[in-house]
Amino acid sequence: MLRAAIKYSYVNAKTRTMHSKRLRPSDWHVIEDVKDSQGFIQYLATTFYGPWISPLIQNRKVGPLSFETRIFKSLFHDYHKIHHGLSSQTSKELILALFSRFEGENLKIVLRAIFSGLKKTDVAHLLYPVEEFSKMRLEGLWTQKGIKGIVKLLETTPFGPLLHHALPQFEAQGRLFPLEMAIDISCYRRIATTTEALRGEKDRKEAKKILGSFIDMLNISHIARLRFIYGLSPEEALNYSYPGGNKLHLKELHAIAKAGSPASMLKLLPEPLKTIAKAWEQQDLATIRIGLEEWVLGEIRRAFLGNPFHLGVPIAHLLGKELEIRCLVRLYQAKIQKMSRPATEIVPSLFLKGGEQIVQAS
Amino acid sequence: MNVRNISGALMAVILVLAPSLALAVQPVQDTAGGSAKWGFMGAALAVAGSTIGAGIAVGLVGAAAMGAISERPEVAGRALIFLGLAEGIAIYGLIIAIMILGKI
Repeated sequence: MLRAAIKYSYVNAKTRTMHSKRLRPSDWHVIEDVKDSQGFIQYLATTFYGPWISPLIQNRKVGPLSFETRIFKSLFHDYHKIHHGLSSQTSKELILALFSRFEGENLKIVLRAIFSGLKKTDVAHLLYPVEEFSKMRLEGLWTQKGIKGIVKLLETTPFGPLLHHALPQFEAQGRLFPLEMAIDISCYRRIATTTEALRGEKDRKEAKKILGSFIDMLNISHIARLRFIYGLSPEEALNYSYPGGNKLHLKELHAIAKAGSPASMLKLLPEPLKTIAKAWEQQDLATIRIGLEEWVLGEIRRAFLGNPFHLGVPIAHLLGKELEIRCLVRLYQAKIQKMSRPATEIVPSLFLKGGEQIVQAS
Repeated sequence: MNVRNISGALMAVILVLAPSLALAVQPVQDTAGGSAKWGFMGAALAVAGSTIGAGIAVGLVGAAAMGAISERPEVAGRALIFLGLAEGIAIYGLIIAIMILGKI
């Protein structure tokens, strides 16, 4: 305990202070009620997102992407701080692995651009601003004329082996989908490997619990989308699932991939998801996703209760903030498109109501 | 805890205890028939234990305070209060040592 306290006293205090600056239910209610996107940005500029959002107030013609890339910068700033504050190399590796998802997203955008013959300037506004923290440089990729050249150039990166493996599928299918999935899967494999490599038992247990819940949420929505929107076979959908889940392992994933409809898929979920999912049975996939986010947020908030000296706290903060930013982006897009959907259909209610009391009661 | 940490902690204990132990083993002209050396030993242990404890506490609280202050500079005042509380542990040992030495 003393050893863990020495190891985490600094990063735990720093993370909790960062966590305390996140949006409160009162903030959510104000941004839910503002009439237009400009009012949305003006209020958000008064919160701790201010330094990143304020420049958008001057520029009145702001697209959702410009907003998205700016607000994500605050998350990457937190990644940088937490990585800097951790003392153990294995913990730092896990933070880098988590961050590699955003590098992977940028890589997918570059692949799509080169595949469609677009220039760097055409897609620069779509890229996540990862420069502060990332060591991966995408500049070299723009000089390549074909996808094969890019895959060769990426051979030494963590994405290399799976991209190389997916190249024949890309050539056979003539679409980027296998390469995009290879990028995603290599990120989550890296996360699973680095989680297993954590030295402390408590660190490993807490990290597996939080990341596992997050991966479960992704796998459920991912399999549902691949099966019921893109019409992939159960085997293909399963093939593209991510490793490292908490409640859903290969057996459970196989069962839900074989389900004939989203409703029957929800019935096959293991507990406690099965009980929670009863409320979503008549809902569309977007609402199910919000329900899953709600469940993950509950797991994330649990990490802040009890013994504070473990890696679960910084990971929970990073994932919680990521979900918060994704919800803000969704809400902002709804404001731009003047959608009349209530915020409860866009944002998990734990954000809107405040969640500590709910978690403690359960 | 690695060997470096253990040897560092041992060195700290020796540095704190050695002078007091040396003093304790000296022939002392006392009225209680040589029991004064145990008094010196007790005083040394009280100071050593409380100082090491306060050191650990200040290390932990200080690190946490630095983490919190770096994110919210306005909590610096409150963080200093907690640092003072941790530092206070050493004073308890010192008071006990003075009380023991006063009895010799």
